[in-house]
Amino acid sequence: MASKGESTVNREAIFGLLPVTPKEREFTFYDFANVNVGLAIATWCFLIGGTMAFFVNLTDGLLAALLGNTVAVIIMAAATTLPSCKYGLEQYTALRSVFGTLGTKVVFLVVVLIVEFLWAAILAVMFGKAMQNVYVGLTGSTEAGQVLLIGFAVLAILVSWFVVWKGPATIRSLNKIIAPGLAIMMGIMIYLMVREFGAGGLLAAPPLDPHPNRWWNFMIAFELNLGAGFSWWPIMGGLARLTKNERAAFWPNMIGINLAAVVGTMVGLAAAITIGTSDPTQWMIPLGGAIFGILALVFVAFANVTSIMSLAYATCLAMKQVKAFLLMDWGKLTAVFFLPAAAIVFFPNTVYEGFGSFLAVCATFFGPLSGIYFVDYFLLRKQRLSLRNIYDLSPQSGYYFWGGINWVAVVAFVTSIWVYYLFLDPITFESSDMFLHFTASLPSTAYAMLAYYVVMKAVAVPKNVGFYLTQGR
Amino acid sequence: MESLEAKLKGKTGMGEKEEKELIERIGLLEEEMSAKGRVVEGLSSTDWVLMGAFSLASLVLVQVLKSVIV
Repeated sequence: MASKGESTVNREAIFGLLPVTPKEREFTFYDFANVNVGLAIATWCFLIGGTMAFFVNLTDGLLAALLGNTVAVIIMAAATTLPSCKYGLEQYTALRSVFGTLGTKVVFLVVVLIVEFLWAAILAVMFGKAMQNVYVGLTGSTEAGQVLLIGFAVLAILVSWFVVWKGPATIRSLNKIIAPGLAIMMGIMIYLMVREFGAGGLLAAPPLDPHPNRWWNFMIAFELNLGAGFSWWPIMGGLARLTKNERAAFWPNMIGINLAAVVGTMVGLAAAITIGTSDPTQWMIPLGGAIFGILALVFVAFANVTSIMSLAYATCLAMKQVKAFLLMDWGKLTAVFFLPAAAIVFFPNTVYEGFGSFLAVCATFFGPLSGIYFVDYFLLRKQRLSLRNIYDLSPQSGYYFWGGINWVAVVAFVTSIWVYYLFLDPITFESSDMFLHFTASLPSTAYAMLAYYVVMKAVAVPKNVGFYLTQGR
Repeated sequence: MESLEAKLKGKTGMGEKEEKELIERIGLLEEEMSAKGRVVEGLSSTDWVLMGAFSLASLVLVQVLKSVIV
């Protein structure tokens, strides 16, 4: 039988699908900027910076990170935060107006869950690596086996699951400590690096394993940061529904998941190119010595766990979209989320070393998804949605499209992944010459937007399939 | 409100209690939208110009960098 606390969380989760009224909105511009900075300053900055270190030095990396994140965050945030803020809608509920009542569930299950499982697994493995290095630092042992790493990664998953199961209160409390703590730690890391290598040394440090073509390196770093910016797509709408106006919903993204994330990423990049390894869990002891290093590693390890909790909680709330999960007990639902992640951590090296490819894959998914959402909401619907049709899951719903799925959106999305591959293979990073001019995620996003607009205008809008002509109620 | 109930009752996939709450909320929001034209303050044209300018400037800067690096 579910405990009282658990059933409260479950009820809160179901009510989380309802539209919020103006009086319930908690976030001012300042509040949402704080939430955003807290999300951005996390250990994923270190992973992204560490991956960029293979290709670019600090100067090129700063420009690639700033420009890539700016472009991606503007497209992603406009598409997700503005509709959610205007109508108080959870993102995947609003997305029914784009992919259809059933199509949204397919998009959610296929794309978002896979990405979120992988994020949780990557962060759990990073926890395992950090704790493995703490063990080496404390015992003086020359190596620690895979069993220890996997054991700690599974522990991270178990602890995260337990906390998410018990509800958001603990996550909020932990985030209040971890986010400022990480910001302070990054400040200390910058101080230690400048003291050790000097500003000139940081700027002169070469990338770890660059391609002979410097421009290719820059474009890969730019692409990775486009991927990083787009990868916020699954959660931003859900948060923005709580903002008091559209300005408070949009601009804090530019402060948090753009500027603050770039600062964090640069700390990671600088550490990686000066210390000579892309693995963040190997920076702390060389940088800060045994005592600071071990303390920092423990802190980084736990910061990973809070990041897992935040993304797991947001994703589990969104899982309530799917009928099978809607009335499912919260403990079981969270277990369903964590089980695949727990299985993935048994392949720690594959998960960890494939992080660059994972970011690029994020761009293949979330760039086109942002673009299609943008076109549908701003160009086809002129920013007008019908709440009563969004919540109507029957075939009478205006957003039922064809059998509950907007096949035009699905085909535009799926073919955009193929377009991405024409420019760059996100797994091997083999690229065509066109990639050097256009990147891969920008043309695939532009293709998805154009294809979706043209076909919808020709096929769906004239017949009013998808409730495009009868706007409003 | 009655038309809303007729439209949504039993079609939301939610329990009875949540569905009732949903209908009340949608009714409230629709009323507010028809009275004021919106529920929350939207972006101004300045916001949109700034968003466009930031995006464009970023893409132009990449091309400038290309001419420097290549």
